[in-house]
Amino acid sequence: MTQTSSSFDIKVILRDTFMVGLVSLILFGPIVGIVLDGYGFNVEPQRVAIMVAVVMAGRFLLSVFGQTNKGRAWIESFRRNDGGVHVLPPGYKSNLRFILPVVILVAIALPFLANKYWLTVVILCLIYVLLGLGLNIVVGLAGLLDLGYVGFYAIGAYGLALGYQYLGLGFWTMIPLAAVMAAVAGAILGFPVLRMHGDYLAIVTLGFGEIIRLVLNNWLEFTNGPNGVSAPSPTFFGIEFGRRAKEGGVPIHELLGVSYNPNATMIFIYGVLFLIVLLVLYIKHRLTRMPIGRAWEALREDEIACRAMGLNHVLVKLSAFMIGASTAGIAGVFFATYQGFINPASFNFFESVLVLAIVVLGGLGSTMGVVISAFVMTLLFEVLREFGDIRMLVFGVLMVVMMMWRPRGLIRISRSGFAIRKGVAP
Amino acid sequence: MDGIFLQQLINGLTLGSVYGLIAIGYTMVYGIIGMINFAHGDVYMVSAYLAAIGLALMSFFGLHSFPVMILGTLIFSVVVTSLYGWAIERIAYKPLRNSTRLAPLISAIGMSLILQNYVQLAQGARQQGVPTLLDGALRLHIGEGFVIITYTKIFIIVASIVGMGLLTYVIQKTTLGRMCRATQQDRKMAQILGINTDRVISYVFIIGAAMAALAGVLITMNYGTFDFYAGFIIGIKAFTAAVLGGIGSLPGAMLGGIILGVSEAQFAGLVNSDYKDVFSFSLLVLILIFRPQGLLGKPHVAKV
Amino acid sequence: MSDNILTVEGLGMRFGGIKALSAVDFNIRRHSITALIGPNGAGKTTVFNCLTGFYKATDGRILLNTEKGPQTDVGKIMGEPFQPTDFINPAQFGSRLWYKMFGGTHLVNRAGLARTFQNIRLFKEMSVIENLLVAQHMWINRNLLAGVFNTKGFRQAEEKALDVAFYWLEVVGLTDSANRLAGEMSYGQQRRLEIARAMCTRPELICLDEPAAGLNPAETEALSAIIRRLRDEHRITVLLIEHDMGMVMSISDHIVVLDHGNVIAQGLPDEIKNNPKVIAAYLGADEEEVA
Repeated sequence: MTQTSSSFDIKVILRDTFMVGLVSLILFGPIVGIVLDGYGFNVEPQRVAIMVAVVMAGRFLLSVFGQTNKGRAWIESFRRNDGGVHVLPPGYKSNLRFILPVVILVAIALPFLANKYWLTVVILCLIYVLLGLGLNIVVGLAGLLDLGYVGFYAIGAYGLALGYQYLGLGFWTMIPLAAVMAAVAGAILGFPVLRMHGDYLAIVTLGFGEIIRLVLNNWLEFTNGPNGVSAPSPTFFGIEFGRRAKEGGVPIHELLGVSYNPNATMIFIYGVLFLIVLLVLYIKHRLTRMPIGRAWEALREDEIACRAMGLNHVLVKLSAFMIGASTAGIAGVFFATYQGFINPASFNFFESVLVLAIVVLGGLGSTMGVVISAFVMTLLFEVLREFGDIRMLVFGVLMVVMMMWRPRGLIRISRSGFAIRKGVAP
Repeated sequence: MDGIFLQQLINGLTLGSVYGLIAIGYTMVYGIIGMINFAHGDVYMVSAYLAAIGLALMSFFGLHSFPVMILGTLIFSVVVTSLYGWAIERIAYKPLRNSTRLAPLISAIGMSLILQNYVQLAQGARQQGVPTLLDGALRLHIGEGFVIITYTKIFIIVASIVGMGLLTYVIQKTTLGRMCRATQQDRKMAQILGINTDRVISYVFIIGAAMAALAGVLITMNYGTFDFYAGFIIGIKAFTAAVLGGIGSLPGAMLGGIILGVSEAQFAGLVNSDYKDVFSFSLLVLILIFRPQGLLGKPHVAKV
Repeated sequence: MSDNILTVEGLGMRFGGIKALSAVDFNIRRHSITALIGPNGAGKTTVFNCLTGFYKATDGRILLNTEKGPQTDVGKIMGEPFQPTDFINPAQFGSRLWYKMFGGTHLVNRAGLARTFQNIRLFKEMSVIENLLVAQHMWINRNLLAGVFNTKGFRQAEEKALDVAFYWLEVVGLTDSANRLAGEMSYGQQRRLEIARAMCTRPELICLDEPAAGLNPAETEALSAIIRRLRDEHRITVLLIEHDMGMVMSISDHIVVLDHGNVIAQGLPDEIKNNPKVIAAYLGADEEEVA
C-alpha cells in the first residue's frame, strides 16, 4: 500500500457521490417520480428525492468506509472469494448428533402445543424443506440451474388431485407414483438438454415450467383450468380423519372412541411429512458420500475432467435432475393434500424463484443451510404477508447480494476427511 | 391465399421484428460474456413504462404532432433505458466476472425480481396503457376476404429495419463496433491489445438496452397495454428468437425473431391461440435439441 | 494380437477451413514411453484431443488395442453420422444410434486410455482423496440402494477404492495432503495429483499433456522417476507431450515429431536428435537449406 492511496481523499468521495446521485436521479426520476394514471400522470417528487438521497448517502458512507484501513480489508475479503469450503478432520463427529434428538423431540411435541394455524405453517415449512433439498441436489451439488422446478412440484400436486378424480388413486399410492412421474418427466426433458453446454438448461427448464402451468391453465376439460381441482385428504389404512367418513366406514375418532379433533388431518399430514423429510435428509447425507454424489460434485467442478475419468456426463447429470424432480413430486403431493384444493396459480415462476432463493441463501450444497433457510424464508413469508410486493423485492436484493458476498451461502461447507493410510497395496 | 393467413403474416412480422430487437440484447451479451442476461426482458418492461411516461409528458407539454411525440419519446426512452442497462451490468454482473458459472445467472434472476417489483411498487400493479397514436389502416382486398394493415404496424416494421440498419452500421463500420467484435472473438487478447474490455462490455449492455427500448416503444404503440410482468414472457420469446437465429449472431437474432413471430402468429390464427406460448417454448426446446447452434450460428468447439 | 497398443492411421482434423492435422500416422508399442514433440502450434494437443475423444477426427482411424478388451475404434464410439446403408442394416443403425445417444469421451477412458490436461483440471473444491475416488467411479459399487443402506458390500468396495487411492497418492508423494482441497495445493503437487487421478481409472495407456510444464528441475526429475515407474512396475504405456527436451530424450523409448500438422520424423531419441528436419523445424531454418 502506498501512502497516497491510504490518505483520505475527500474530493474523490464527493465526486463519486455526486455521480451516483446524478445516475440515480435519471434512473428513478421517471419511474418513481411520474406515476401513470390513465393517460395522464401524477408527480411524486418527494419519493424521488428520498431514494436519491438514500443512494447518495449509501455511496458516501461506502466510499468513506472504503478509504479507511478496516474498510479496505473488508472490500478485499469480498474479492478473495475462497468459497469457504474446508475439509473436516478424519474422525470428526458432527454436533448434529446432539441437535438431532432435540429437534425430533420438539417435532413430536409440536402437535400437542401448536394450534391449527401454526401447524399449517410448519407443514408449509417442511414442504419447502423438501423442495429445497431436492433443488439443492440439482443446483448445489450438480451445478445445474433448474428454473422450472415448480413444474415437477405441479406434476406431484396435480397427480394427486387428478389421479383421485379420474382413477381414484389415493394419497399413499400417489407418493411413490408422483416421485416416479416427476422423475420420468425430468428424464424426458433432461436427456436431450443436458448434453448441451451449461446455461441453456436454465432457460429450457424455465420454458418447461411455464408449459406445465399454461397447459394446466388452458386444458379446461381435463384440469378444470384456473378454477382448480380439489385434492383428497390422506387416510391411514383406509381410515379417515374427517368428522364423517366420506367413503363409508368409520372415521378415526369413532374408531378410537375419542372426541373429534379438527386438527387430526393436519397432524397426520405433519407426521408423515416429518418422517419423509427425515428420510430425505438421511438419503441426502448418504448420497454425498456415495459415488454418485461425488460424481455430481466433480461434474460441477469440471465437466471435461469428468469425461476424461470415464463418467458419462449426461447420465450423471440426468440422475441428479431426476432425483431432484422426484423430491419435488413428493412435495407436490403433500402440498395438494394439505391445501385440499389446488389451481395453476400456485405453480408460477415465482415459486421456482422462491425455492431457488432458499437454496442460494442456505448455501449451494449445504444440507443444514437449506433446512434452516427454508424455515426462515417460509416464516418470513408468513410474517411479511401484508407486505407482499416488498417481499419479492427483498428476495431479489438478497440473491444479488449473496452472489457477491457469499456465493456458497451463509454456512461454511464442510467435506468429510479420510484417515490416512500408508504402505497400502492396491 | 387465405385472408387469415395473410393477416397473421402481417401480425407475425410486426411481432417478430420486435422480438428480433429484444433478441439482440440477449445475443450480444451472450456473445461477449457467455451469460444469459435474465433481466433483459425486464429492461424491455421498464422501457415500456418509460414510453408511456414519455408520451404522457409530451402531451402534458402540449406537443401533439406525431413525429415530435414519437421522436421525443424514443429519445427519452432510449436514453433512460440504456442507463438502466448500464447500471444493471455495473451492479449485478461486473463484480461477479471471476466468480463461479452459476453466480451471474442467479444474480441475473435476482436483478429481474428487483426490476419487476420496483416498478410494481413505484407504478402500481394495475395495467397501464397509452392512447393510439397513429390512426388509420390500409385495407387490401384479396379474393373474398381482406387484410387490414394499420399504419402503426407499418411504422413498427420500418422503425425496426431502421434500428437494425443503424446497429449493423455501428457494429461493422465504427471503432466501437470493431472493439465489440474483437472482444467477442477473444476477450483476453483484446485486453492485451489495449482494448478496455470492461468498457466494451458496458457498451454492449447499453446497446442491448437501447434496442430493447426501441422495442418497448414500438410494442406499446401497437398493443397499448402492458404491466410490470410484461417482460417475462416476451423475454423468453426473444431469447428463443436469439437461439433460433444462432446465439451470438446479429442477423440471426433478427431472422430468428421474424421466424418466431410469424410462426407463432400462424399457430395462433390457424390452430389455437391459447397454446401459442406453449408452441413458442416447445419450439425453443426442439431447436436446442436438434440444432443448438441455430440457423446462422457456428457450432461450438469446446476448448480442452 | 499386435504389439501396438495404439494405431493411428491417416488422422486428419479440420476446424472450419483450417487444417490442424493431415495424414498423421504413428504406432505406440505396448509398455513403452513415447514422446510427441514439436514446435508450438504443431498440433500436438489436437492429436491428444482426437486420441482421447474430445475432438471427433475428420479423417482417419484411431485404434486402441488394450489387453483387457476387444479393439476399440475411437471414431465409432464417439458417434458417427448415419450412412445411407444404415437404413437397410438395422444392427448397424442400432449401433450408431446407441453411440450417438450414449457414446462419447467417457467410453475412450473406459476402454483403457487416461489423460491429463495441459492446464490442470482438478476438482478444486473437493479434497485430494475425493478426486481420486471420483476417478474410480467405474470400479466401485454404484448401486444406489447399497449406498443408501451402507451395506457391507458397499463398504468393502469403498475400502478397496480408498486403498487404491492411497496407493497412488504414495506413488506421487502426496499422502500427507490427502485431506486438503485440491485447489489449495501448489502447482507441482497439482500436476502429480492429476497423474495419480488418471492412474486411478486403471488405464493401460496414459497420455500426459506437458506434465513438466512449470516445474523446477528437481520436480521434473521426480516426475521422470514416476513416469519410468509407471512403465517398469505397472506395465503402463505412456504417451507424453513435452517441451523439456532433456526430459524427453532421457526417458523416451520412441519419439514422434510433429510440425504443421504432419509427422516429420519418428524414431529413437538419438535418431531424432540428429535429424536435420527436426532441427530445421525447431530452429526455423529453410527446408531446402538442410536438405
